[in-house]
Amino acid sequence: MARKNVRKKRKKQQQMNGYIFPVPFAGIVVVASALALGYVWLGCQCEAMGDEIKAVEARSVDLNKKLLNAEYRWVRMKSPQSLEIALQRHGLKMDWPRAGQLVRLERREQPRGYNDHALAGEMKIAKVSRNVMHE
Amino acid sequence: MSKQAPYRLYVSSSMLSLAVIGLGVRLAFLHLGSHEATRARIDRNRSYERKILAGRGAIHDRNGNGNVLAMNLGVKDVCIDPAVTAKGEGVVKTACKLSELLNVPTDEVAVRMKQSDRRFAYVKRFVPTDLAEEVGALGIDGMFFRDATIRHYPQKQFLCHVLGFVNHMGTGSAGVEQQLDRYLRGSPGIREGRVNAKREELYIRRGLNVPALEGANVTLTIDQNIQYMVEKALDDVMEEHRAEGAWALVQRISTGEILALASRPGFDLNEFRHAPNFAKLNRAIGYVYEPGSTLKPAVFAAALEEKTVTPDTMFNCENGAWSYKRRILRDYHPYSRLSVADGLKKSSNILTAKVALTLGDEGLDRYLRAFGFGKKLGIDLPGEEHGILHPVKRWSGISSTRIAIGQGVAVTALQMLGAVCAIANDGFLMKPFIVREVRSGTGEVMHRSEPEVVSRPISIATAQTMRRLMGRVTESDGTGRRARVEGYTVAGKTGTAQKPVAGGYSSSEHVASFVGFLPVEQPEIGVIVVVDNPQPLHTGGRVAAPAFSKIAGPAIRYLNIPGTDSMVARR
Repeated sequence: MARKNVRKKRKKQQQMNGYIFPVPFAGIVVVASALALGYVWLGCQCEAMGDEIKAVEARSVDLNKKLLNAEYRWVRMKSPQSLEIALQRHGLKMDWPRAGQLVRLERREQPRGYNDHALAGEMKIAKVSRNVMHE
Repeated sequence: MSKQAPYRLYVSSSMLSLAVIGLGVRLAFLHLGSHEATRARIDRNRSYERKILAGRGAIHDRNGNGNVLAMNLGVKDVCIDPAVTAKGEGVVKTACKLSELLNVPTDEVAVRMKQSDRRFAYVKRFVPTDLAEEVGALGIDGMFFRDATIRHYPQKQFLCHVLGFVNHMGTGSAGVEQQLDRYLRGSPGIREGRVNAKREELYIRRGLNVPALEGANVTLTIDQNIQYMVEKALDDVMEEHRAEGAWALVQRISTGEILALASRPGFDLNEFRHAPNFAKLNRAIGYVYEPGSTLKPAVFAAALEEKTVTPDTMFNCENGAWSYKRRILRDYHPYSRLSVADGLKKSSNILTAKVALTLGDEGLDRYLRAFGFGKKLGIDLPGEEHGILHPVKRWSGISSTRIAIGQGVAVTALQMLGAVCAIANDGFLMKPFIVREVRSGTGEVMHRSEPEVVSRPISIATAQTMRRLMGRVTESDGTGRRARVEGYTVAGKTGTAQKPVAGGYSSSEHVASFVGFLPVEQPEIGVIVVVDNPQPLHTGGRVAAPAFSKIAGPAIRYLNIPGTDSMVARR
């Protein structure tokens, strides 16, 4: 009998206050919503980063092409033929030096106690002599 | 609540239920049924697969990355939408501007621009980017550009026979491009994924992504500066002597590395489709000719090695005409008696024939083959010829006397140079090579050429004697005096061969050549120059020897090799 009264009392109280949303269910809904929002946010982040990567990839391809073109222009400029044309344009005539015009510096065996100062000093008194090797 | 309220509620509920049921049925229909075609179509529309093309490797000269000889170049295709351009005013005027910039016929451009029923047409393909920018600056409505990549040879005709070219399928079809195609072409990659409604790739849905493996870079043994000297000298020879062709090689004696290889006529590698076949032939390795007197050093070296003669052995040169087995053999200048040393210097045919007879047919054949004649030397380029040296059993009674003077035998310039370089290299015949190394894009060495000895036909003593004898050829009274190089001693041999024609030899067509090395005391480089049918001068001494000097002089100075006049400052 007492039990019946309690039930009646609770029903009466519910009728007075209206429907009460269960707290645990509300918690689940909030957590699920947060997770869903987080998932969407991460998805957006990934997509944005993907677009960024794609843009960088495209830029890399573009820069590579530019590098090739710059390399091409440089090769054209420094080819022997281009250099000769450029020299001619400026009225210059260049040739490899003849054997008689060359002086070769030969390094002799270093004596004991040899140091940089000695090297600097001796360089000034280097003797010029003909190479008899092939004569 | 009004009386109608439950009725409305029932109707709305029924409609909603019907809608839900309808959707459910549709969903069940879609999911439970087998709609393979629909699924495949959707999947096809959303999926994306692209082949990532691998860039072809570059080709450099021996000095490395700075001197690119073959490369990929990003270019643009100039395209138009004729449906738009046809509507614009002044089509002819625009076509004139485009044709002027792009060097295409005006009428052709105008016709393409007026095809209003079409949505796409090329104005010109493979236009350099800077030129494309100029075209873009015109601001023509309906014009757009497409990116493209082409194989480009920045120096056009330069080194054309060595580099070769790549066909429209991207496969190397000649020269190094063909020989090393497996290294150069790389391996394409693949990318698979999904696209959005605008057909743009969704990066996050990218499935498979295998990057392309770039082609390996090739470094040649060729030095572009020496190559330039050679090509210039050949162009001069072609012009001065009105020759049909000319070719030359420069080889480093101790290793067999080819420092320069050129053949004329040449062709522009970027326009190889329009080049005639005779221009594409690499004569230095793919054309056989009768060598004439340039073969004599090999015969003399063989006889000296076999000790059947010494440099001082005297021979009767029959005053210029010798009948052997009822066939007359003549000298260019008549001589009575000559030593072996003078016979080489004066290039006596009769003396050489008699020296060859001391060897016997078998002996001569054995030595010539050991010097590399009659077989490929194995250079790493396609199209090398074997040459012609018939087996002894097919020789006639006089064959050895004719082969010894370079008749009845055919060689390539590469073989001839190899034989002379063997004499200069203490008797070691080196395998010629033109590819120094192949490196992958990551720097890993995939192939590196090392010097390789093919054979050793003569001893060091014989080689030294031969160097001395060949050095006399360029003395002031020798046939090769015009091959001399100031400040250096030069050894070599001239060759003037009549060209074989049906039933004999032509009296008006010749092949003039000079092969030699320098410095004599410590040989560093060997050079051969061959000129096909020069007019009116036709001797090796007059035509090829000066070209040799023109090549060898600057080349030896460029390589910084000391000569006889070198001044040395000693500390």
